[in-house]
Amino acid sequence: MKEKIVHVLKRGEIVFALLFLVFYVIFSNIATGFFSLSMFHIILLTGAELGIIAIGMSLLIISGEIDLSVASVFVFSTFIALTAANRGLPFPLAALLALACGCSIGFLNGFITLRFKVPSFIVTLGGLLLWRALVAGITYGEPTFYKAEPSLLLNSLGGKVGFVPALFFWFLGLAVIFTTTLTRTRFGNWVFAAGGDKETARALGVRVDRVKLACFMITSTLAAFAGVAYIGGSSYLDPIVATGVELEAIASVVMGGILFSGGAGNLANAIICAFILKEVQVGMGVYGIPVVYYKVAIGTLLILTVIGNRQIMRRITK
Amino acid sequence: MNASIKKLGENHGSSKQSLGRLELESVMVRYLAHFKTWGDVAKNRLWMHLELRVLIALLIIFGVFTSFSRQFLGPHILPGILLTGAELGIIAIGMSLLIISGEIDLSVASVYGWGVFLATVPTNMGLPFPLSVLIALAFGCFVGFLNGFITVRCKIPSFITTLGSMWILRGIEIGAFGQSFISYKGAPSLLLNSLEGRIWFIPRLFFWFLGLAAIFSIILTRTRFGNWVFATGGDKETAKALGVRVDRVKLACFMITSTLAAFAGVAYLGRTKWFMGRVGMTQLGYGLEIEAICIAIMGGTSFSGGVGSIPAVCLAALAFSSFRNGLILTGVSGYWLDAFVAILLITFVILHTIRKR
Repeated sequence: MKEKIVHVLKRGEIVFALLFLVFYVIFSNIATGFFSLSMFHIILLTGAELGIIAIGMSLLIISGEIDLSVASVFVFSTFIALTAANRGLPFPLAALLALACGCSIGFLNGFITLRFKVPSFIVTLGGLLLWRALVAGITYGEPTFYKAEPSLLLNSLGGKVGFVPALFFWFLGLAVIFTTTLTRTRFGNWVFAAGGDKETARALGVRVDRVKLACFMITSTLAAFAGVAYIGGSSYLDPIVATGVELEAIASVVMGGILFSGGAGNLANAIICAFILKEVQVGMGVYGIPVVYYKVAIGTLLILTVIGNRQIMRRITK
Repeated sequence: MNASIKKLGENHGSSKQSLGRLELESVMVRYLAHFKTWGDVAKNRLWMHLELRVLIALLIIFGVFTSFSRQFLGPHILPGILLTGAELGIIAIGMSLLIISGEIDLSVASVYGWGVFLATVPTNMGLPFPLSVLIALAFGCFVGFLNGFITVRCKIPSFITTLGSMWILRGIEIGAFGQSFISYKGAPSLLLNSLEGRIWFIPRLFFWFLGLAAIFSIILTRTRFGNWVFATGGDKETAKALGVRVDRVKLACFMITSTLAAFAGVAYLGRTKWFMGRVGMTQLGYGLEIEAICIAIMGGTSFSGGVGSIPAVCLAALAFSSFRNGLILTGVSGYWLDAFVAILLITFVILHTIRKR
């Protein structure tokens, strides 16, 4: 029996799902109007957006690197997709172009990091400043509007089925794909190996640099995808949108128990934590607490969860 | 060439009885014997020192912007450059100290904001200004202690700890002070006087900055504590084995960083006497942590810890502020600024990696 409990605790999905439920019950009790489908819709929508970015971030952190530029890539790719669509490109092609942009930014990040041995923190810090400033500079800080025809793809990103946002299904698909990749394929194994013990992995024949490069590209592409999906929900892009999302994504990844130093972690936990963060945000908003305290809440939540994670892991691995 | 020089050097070096002039020559010759060609001499001589590298970059930035506009070194721009350079530099000194010891602090901007408020609000209530400054500094010190304690004790990466404290402090700050204008109503004080105004064209804060830079430079290079800091960041296990109390050293670095950030916040009062926690999206000291980290990187501080130089970081702070002020002077739109800062950052990183490879 005890072994079973330990096993469940070690995996953690159930614990975090329970945490999500606990917060849901608390907010339903204290905030009138929180227990409704429309609020749940918002949680699912914003959670899916953050979750998609967090998937890539988890992958990258597991492989032992970090990407601070995801929010800027988000804005940049949204801008690319918007401009391309406005210039007359069909939306699916514009979206593809934006994804390609994201992918190449990821390649650039990875290439500089791995080829010149500059820490990814520094390289992507440059990206954080650069890509958003490019959008702001080109548009002079004015919002960019989507003026093209509506398209099927756009509807599939921004619409909803019942109360569930369509983006949530995209997110679920991506989550399933990447969880399977991480846990069931050779590539996933390589990712863990690259982040865990680089030298051993290399000695065993894992091409560590290529694996990391792939992780960089996946992360930026997913951020670009979240950016394209943003057009589905909003018809215009303000250059200051999604400021600080990279930190939120990192927070949810670390809260989910993925080691910041790389090599260990569970993708599903990180995703659930992304939803917990957004649930807390929505709940606090409905309860009427000023938005500024959202950051206080997630800061506290972050530190407490990380300490808690560590203590629990230490107890059960003893 | 090198063989003959080497021979010469050996000959001169062996004669202990030689005259002063000859001795000097022999030293030079022996020095030159390290390099293969004259091109190699120039390259290594220039790139050898972190400080020299950053200084050259700073001079290039000055040269470029002066050629764009004569105003750049004029009485309206230069004091501004020195002022922002000093303010950023004070924070960057602490940041690079912490990065050298192998940790990082994202909460400096929030502590900066708190420093501004804690120096103002108690003074407005009637406390003497120096006392409220002490409160602000003590607050910074306490935040640094908490950051360090959680990081060191619970073995959480400092990126995460300080990310949390950045959010918490910023949120409470805006919640408590953000919606109202606050103006400094205290009596004039000698301390405040020493933070504002300028002597000739140099802002007084710049002298504070120079003093702090000198103090921390000496601490880092000439004291045992400084040695411990380098050891902690360089090779933790070896340092531990040699009896360095790694955790305490890190804790001290955290406290120094936050205290310096709070001091920079206090110094903000030397610039303006009224402010607001938040104007639209712009918050007090918004993005300062990123700027401080950029400056630390530009100053050649190694992100894996154990390498860095305070003078180089100070020069980098000046380079950063002159670059930004210069861009504004040449008429670059504010929206583009960050893109150019990113390019500057990457240029500096390349500058530092050339030497390593």
